[in-house]
Amino acid sequence: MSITVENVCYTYGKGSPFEKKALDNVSFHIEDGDFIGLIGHTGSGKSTLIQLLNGLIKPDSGKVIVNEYDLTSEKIDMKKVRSTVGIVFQYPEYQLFEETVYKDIAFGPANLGKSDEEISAIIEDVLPLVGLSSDILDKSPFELSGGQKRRVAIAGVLAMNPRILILDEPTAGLDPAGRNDILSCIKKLHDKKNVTVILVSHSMEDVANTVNKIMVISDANLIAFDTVGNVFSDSEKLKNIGLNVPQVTRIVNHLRQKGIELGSGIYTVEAAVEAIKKRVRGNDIC
Amino acid sequence: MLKDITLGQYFPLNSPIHKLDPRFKIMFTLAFIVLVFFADSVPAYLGIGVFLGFVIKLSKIKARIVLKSAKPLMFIIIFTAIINLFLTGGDNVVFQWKFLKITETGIVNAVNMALRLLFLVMGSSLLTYTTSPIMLTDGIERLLSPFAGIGLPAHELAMMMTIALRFIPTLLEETEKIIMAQKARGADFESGNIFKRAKALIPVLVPLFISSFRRADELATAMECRCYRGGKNRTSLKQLKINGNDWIALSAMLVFAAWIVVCDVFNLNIMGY
Repeated sequence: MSITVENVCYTYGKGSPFEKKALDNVSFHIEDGDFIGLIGHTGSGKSTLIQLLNGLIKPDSGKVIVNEYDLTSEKIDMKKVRSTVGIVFQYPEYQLFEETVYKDIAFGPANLGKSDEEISAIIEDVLPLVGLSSDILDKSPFELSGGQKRRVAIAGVLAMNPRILILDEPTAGLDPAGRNDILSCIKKLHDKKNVTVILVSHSMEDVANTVNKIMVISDANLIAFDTVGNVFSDSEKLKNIGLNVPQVTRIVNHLRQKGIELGSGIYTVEAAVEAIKKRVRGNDIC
Repeated sequence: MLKDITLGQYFPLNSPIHKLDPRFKIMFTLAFIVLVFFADSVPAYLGIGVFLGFVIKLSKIKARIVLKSAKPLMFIIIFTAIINLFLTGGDNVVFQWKFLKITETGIVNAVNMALRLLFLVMGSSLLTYTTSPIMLTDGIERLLSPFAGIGLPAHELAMMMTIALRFIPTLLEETEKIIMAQKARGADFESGNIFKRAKALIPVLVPLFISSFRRADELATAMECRCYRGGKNRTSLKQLKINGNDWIALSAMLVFAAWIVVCDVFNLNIMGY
């Protein structure tokens, strides 16, 4: 399930005073099983890019190929594409509409033509993945808490059993506990089922903690697509486009300027703790 | 798709039309609508076309966008034209097939109605294209204020209209987002018969309703927090002032009105039309 994007351009509101170029000649290739963080400033073209990846919008020029499907061709069976590439949009809880949680999660698979038995098996499968118990299935989605609603919405997308999962800021507006829960769910999903994941995020910490590779978009252009280490090693470049490295990396960099070297490649709190321990022991202060 | 609907949208440009006093613009638009219904001859329509073209040119808004404003109403315009075409009686039968009969008066009526509706939509769209919602409210409020004495809630009405206008693009955007999200879940809005399609809209309409109520609630709270108390003793930051350009526009409008009236009264026509 690889994704290939070739020379894609997309412009909004062509010919109106609000014309805006969202993507300018973007090309990249994503391998099967990759876990990718997509970062970029608001309005940089992230949302446009993910909509292209499951054919919700068509590029003005260029090609989008997911697996063997060429999304830019006219004859493509969109249902197949939609079941291959699942998108969880920003604030997905706003798309809940059914009377019960069960029915809402069933909406996706039912659209794909699954039978009732298959659907109930799928729902049983999906619920533990997002950390929900089965006693909420008969409740109305509107009486749940914010975090629960979001999980139901994510379950609704997972129920289509996508091989590629795209999440647009799945943790926005959640408390730290909810955020960690959702992120570990996604990580689990990637590790266990080998789903290719693209995680759009504004939080460098979330990205550093979870993904393998980072894609940086700025002003309709793909600036970088590399491993976490390589992307975060160039903090000046990220700063220039209004982004930053994780907070803990900034602290490590500051310490380096003060003459305390903890080593490079520290992007998570755990790694920093280890490095500090090592250094303290090395100095025989303890 | 939905973003093509430009009704009620404002295009922030810098043009003499944008700078006109909103009170004048509102009155001009009303006068324009009345005048359009007076027109029934080729010279009069030419006059409207030239006037409208001139205003569009001055407003710096692309003619294509103004033309597009009539797109959502195209069905109604065509429907009206067809009704007029076939159901108008008259002696001069041009075409007859069984019970279907087209008369000369029918054709004239159909063209009349279609042109009037087209001009009407384009003219009134120009008002919202060139006037920011705040200016529009100010204008409406000031125009209605003489009636406040007899119990007309001028400020509240104006505020309601602005909020409604303000939220048209927001709700369209929201609808688009929800459609995308449901499409991503395999929803199909494009195939099936009319009942199937209507049913397919439920997953869009329910979230849209819920979010509209949520938005209304949030807006009310935000206004309350800033001590909004309605129109009493409220002053505006930008006082409306009438300047030279407004008078020039008024004279242009009067010339236009005079032309339509002259066409009407003296029955000016080209080859009988």
